[in-house]
Amino acid sequence: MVKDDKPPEGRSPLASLVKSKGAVVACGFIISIFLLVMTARKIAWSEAADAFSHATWLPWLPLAVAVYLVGMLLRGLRLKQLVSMEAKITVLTASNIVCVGYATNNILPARLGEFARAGMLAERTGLPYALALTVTFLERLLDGLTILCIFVVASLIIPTQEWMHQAAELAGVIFAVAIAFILLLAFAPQHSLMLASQLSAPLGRKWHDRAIALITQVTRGLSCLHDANTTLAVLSTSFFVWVLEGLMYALVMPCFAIPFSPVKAQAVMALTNLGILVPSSPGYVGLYHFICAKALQAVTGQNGLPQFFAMGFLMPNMGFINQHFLQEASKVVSETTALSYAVAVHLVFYVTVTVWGVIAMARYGLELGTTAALAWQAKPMQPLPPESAAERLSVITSVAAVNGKGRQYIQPAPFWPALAEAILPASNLPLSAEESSRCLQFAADFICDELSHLPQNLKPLVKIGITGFRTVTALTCLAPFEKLSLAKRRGVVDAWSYGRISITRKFFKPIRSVALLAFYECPEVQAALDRLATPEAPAVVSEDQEKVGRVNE
Amino acid sequence: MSETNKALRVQVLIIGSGAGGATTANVLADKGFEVVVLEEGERHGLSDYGQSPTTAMRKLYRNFGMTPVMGRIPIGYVEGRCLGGSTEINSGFWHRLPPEFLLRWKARFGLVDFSHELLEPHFEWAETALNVGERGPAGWPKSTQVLNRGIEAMDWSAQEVKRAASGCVNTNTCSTGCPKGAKQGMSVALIPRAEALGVRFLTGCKVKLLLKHGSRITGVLAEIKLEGGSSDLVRIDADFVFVCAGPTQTPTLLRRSGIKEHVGDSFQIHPMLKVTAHFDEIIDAHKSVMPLLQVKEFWPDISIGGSFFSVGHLALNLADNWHENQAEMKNYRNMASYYVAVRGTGGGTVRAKILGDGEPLLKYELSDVDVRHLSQGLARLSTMLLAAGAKEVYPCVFGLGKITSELEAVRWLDESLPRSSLSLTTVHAFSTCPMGERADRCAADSFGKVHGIQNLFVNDASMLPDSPGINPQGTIMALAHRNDQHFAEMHGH
Repeated sequence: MVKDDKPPEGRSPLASLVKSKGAVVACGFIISIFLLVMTARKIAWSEAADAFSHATWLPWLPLAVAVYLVGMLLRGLRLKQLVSMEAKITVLTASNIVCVGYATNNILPARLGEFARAGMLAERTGLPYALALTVTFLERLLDGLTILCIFVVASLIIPTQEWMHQAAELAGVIFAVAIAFILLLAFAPQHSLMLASQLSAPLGRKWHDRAIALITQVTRGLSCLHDANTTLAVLSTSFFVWVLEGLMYALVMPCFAIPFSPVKAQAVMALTNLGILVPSSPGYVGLYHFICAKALQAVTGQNGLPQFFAMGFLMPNMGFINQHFLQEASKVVSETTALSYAVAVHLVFYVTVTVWGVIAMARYGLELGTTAALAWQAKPMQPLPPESAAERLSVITSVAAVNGKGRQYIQPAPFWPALAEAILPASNLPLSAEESSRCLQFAADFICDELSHLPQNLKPLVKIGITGFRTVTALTCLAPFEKLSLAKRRGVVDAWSYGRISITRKFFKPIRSVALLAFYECPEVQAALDRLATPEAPAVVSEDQEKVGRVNE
Repeated sequence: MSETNKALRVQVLIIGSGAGGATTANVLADKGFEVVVLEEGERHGLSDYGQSPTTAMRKLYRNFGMTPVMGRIPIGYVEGRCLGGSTEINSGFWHRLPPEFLLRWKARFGLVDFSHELLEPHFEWAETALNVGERGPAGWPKSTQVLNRGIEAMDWSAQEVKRAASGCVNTNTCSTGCPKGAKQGMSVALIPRAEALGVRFLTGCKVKLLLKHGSRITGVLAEIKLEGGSSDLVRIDADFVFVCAGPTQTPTLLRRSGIKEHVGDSFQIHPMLKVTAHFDEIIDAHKSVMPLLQVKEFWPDISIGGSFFSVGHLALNLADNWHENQAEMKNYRNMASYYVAVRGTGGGTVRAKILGDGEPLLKYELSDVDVRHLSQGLARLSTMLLAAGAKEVYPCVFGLGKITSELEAVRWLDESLPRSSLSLTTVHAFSTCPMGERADRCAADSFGKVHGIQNLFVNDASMLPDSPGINPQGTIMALAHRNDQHFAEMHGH
């Protein structure tokens, strides 16, 4: 169903990838070379050699590498969260995919590694390439947002220079536009489809259908944002990813007698990573060093709160602290030292991720050139039955099934049978304990089913209502609802269902109605009603009623 | 992506397989057109029918039966989502459009070639196709007999409502699909005929967008569900498109596709209030077809009749005052449910949601007149049921206890029920794409062609210009048949 979009014959995949993005590649190389030359001109190479020879590598460098590795695993966790509705992958596999992308960025220019990353994600999961690319783009957007937020917080703590603010503002505008676009696609997929159709229709059938296919896959890739839990998890993970990245930057500082300052390091990290969004050479050589060095110089020349965060003065007598530093702590870091620092930080991430990425590629049996070729491939979807009339249909695109791990909006949980029991008069009917339990569970499952199929705009209101109910109950009764006694649960439900607050009555009305419908459709319940209505028949007493009877005696 | 230049091209594409869609498929295929029908729901056999309401809601109902019409008072609305549409889950009750409404529609909406005589053959065609008939007093179940007793006691005018059913054996499964094939839903009556004429029905196929080029519809984008949960987005080109997706889905699809003039602006329903009556005698309403009589004494403003009954639905009806009413559940064999329905003079809209899946957003506000009529209807119905021998009458009104005497009932002739306490439902919706020559209020012309689009037609409940005050299936099918005949004549068949 999905046509394999192969590169033109007679050309290697790598060459094709580079050729197709020729303008961007050329631009990236020009920028990198320019910055390298500008930087190199100002370097006092003897001082740089001196800085490296006097650097204190232990224990800082291994710590920095370890922290960076943990950050990569968190990136893998985030990717796993983003595709959780579409596919199942382990954190390790996801981390490998991320690393391959990063490693490819270190080999190919102009961030072409992102496409390889998308291709590998498609290859590993069977997702369409467009969907995989959407997920990659979403990751990058989350990265940019997180980095911006970190920079803003850091700049509130430490003074930063005007150019840093301007750079952050520019990035902020770009990301705001991108976020608005993403939110439109994610939360208004039907509207996006219509817009895409209208805008592309004048271009002819072929381009119209391609636009439709692309929008369909992109909106599908963004559908993970519909789930609040997934979105929160992804945002949290993104935050920790970049805090750890900043911590890595901080851990390299003492190597060059720069006071350990996590906050300054976060600012440096944020600006450096915003800067390398610009297309550049493989591994961002030149651009990375330039921005990192400038940012470090800008923040280390500032006074104020940073002293509070400088661990140097807390441990002045520790052997591994360079005593030479304590005399130089208040000085601005020199250009040479700043560049040396930048080189060291760059090497930490470059070497770590490239080694990991190459190992991952080797493990999956891929050649470096083929990695780029993955950008063109995706698994075909399940074909339609050939005898169906639909075989003659023109398929624009295929969408995979949602990951079958039960994405029902309202998930069954112990709360629901407890709620059903509080609503329903099971204990007043001559039902056995097993019958009662079965019927209550059936009613609970039916409630979850029905609420999950409400119109989409009402579902969040239901969740808010249930959360509110459970929270208020827990606060007022000092225990979760499902742990309360039946009598107490019934009291709570009655207060909400028949109390004076109109909105709680309205909220509980459909829940009560659905529960009653399901419960009384159970054959066991109808048989129990018949027993109640027949005075001559011997009463069937449930186990609970027997216990109550014995207690009363 | 596959080569889209080889798109499937059909002569007539019909969206929806309910009363309007199945009629259109039959007529046009019979006239020699090549017809394909796209149906969002699944195809079900008789073995899938007649199951419990909870199972039926999952299989046959849109949103599992949870489709609220929003307003100051939410109103529960149900429609079918399966091959055959709502005809698979309705009562099969049949009416012809009363002459009074025929004239009113003609005057208000400028309908041409619209008269009792001209519609007669179309009603006859539909009634023959669906075996429409009466059961006769000899075949009345107990719930109908008690209703008749009350009508006679009040000396009101009433009639046995004809049904689209043949050989009904009282399985009481009208709302869950008739497993005997007695009720003539489209899946039993017209769809097999259409398939024999060469019509292709594609189920699990939801139309996402109508593709428009200038003043023509060139085709549709549709999503076909495959086994395993994956889906294909396909393009189907068509010379003519008939949208018969129902009174809520049709306007939503049109609006999603940029066709908005008088579409979804005039949503009408028959708001319905249910009551349950408790008798001394055994009724066993859960074992018989719903009551077959309708009171015409107060028509068109108020209609009184019988409602579907099961033990679960009894609990539903008693839910508003559950603490007071739950003890009555054991007497379910002595109980039956009835309704009062009003024609609906309020107004509503149907819109496609911008956020989310583009599904319909239904809004309706009851008018004060509606509330008065519901109140009066409750008074009349309760009085009648008490006269029929009911001991108590339990209305679906929060905070209103059981009615045990005529004195308690007649209060509502002069007072209005508290609006916020009403628990209302409806199974009849229409008028979201009204037809007629009045371009200032109609979405389509007198024969269902959408104004401003050369090859797009609406042919379902949404085309009814206004609330008809009766069960609408007969009117829908007759008008659809009329429109289809006209279309065929216009295009040389």
